[in-house]
Amino acid sequence: MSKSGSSRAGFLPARVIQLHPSRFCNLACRHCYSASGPHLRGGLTATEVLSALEILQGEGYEVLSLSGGEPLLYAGFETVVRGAAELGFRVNLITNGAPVGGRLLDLIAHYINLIAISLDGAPPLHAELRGDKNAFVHAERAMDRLAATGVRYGLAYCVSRESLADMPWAVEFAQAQGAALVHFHPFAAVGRGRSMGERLSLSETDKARAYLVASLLQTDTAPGVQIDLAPIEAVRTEQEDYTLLGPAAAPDAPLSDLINPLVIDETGRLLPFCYGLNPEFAIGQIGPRLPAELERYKTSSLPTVQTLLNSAFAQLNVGNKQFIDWYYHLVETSYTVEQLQRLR
Amino acid sequence: MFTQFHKENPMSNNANDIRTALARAVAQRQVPDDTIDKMASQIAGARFPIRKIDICTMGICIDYFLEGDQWWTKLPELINIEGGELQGIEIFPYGIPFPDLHHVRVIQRFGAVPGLGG
Repeated sequence: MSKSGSSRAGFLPARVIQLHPSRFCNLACRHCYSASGPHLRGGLTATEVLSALEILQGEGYEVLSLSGGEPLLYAGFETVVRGAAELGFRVNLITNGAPVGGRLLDLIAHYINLIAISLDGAPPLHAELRGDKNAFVHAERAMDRLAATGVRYGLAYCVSRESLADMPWAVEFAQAQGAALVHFHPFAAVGRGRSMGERLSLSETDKARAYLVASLLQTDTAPGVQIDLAPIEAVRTEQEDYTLLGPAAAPDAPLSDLINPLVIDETGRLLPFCYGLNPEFAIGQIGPRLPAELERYKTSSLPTVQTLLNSAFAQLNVGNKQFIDWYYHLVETSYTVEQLQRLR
Repeated sequence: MFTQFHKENPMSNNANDIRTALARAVAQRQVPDDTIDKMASQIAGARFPIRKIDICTMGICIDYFLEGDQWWTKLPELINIEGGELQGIEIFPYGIPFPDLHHVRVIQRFGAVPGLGG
């Protein structure tokens, strides 16, 4: 492994930072994993973010993926994407589409490698879950504008019990709009979504349906189709992708060899793998002490994340799981049963 | 079920149309749960990375890549389809650039998967 990012780390081919700089959003979606909304001001400053990115670039990270909140409404958006691009990061982002236009469209065209528009189903379900009757119109308008500007974009489609039936529609819609890909991600009962679990969570059979549907929709003419579900045996056989976190974990290895993706949440906390992971597994905090915290983490805290991964692989054998959303599985595994009950 | 969809969609005259029609039937829960569960257990239990799930005139195809000079020893495991019926197996050597890489397609008959025609 090297800092060049030329080899795998974890299950990903690229070394990714997921940045959630703020929970401010024009919408307050009923199932939002980060419980974002219009009244949640604050977040990280662009200066804080760029200082951290400079350090993390030296740790081998190469892709910055912006989320939120609505990243296009983040006050430091322009400064961060410009600075990240200058540091050599490829910058991606996920948006609900409403702010796409005007100067932001120019910035997207100049600095963003791939932009994903989030959808929660066909127009009526999307509008209902977003709490905005114009939500789909705004998303569609964003796609039109991106296509007209020649920006490569995709759809990030939340597969829930209610939106599963419209997965084929999503791919046909994406194709008609000129989207480059459709990324299906299963509904995760985290954040505000914890209260929607009964209505939206996929059963094990639904997960199998979603996996099969996504596989069948990968055609020669359709956009690229990806789903965040993996057959359980395939996950087990790829366990060796995490071997660097084993007993031989080298303190002098770049962090990206060990933790990928790396999450920075709106409080400046660095977390391994996934937004919403138990904060007990935090790596550090952006700020002047970050280099020392990374050093300490690599020399003394890796066994804790190794334990988490071992538990997650062991948990694959529990119940009748056949397909798994690995990162959501890690989030669930990171909490004790009592902690999960309190969160619900 | 699959045949019924094919008949109701006379424009379904190429592989992509057929795949989309089948995807729609699965997504809209018109293929019964027990059929999905059987397919799921086969896919989820696969010990080798699945590269693609396809359909062809003979049935549902699961594509794998096998590597190594003992690749052929893994074939019995691939074709042991619990609750299904093997219709065929196709092997495509990748040739000179990747001499130890083989693309193996395992085909299961439609009729062996209740609800998908046959």
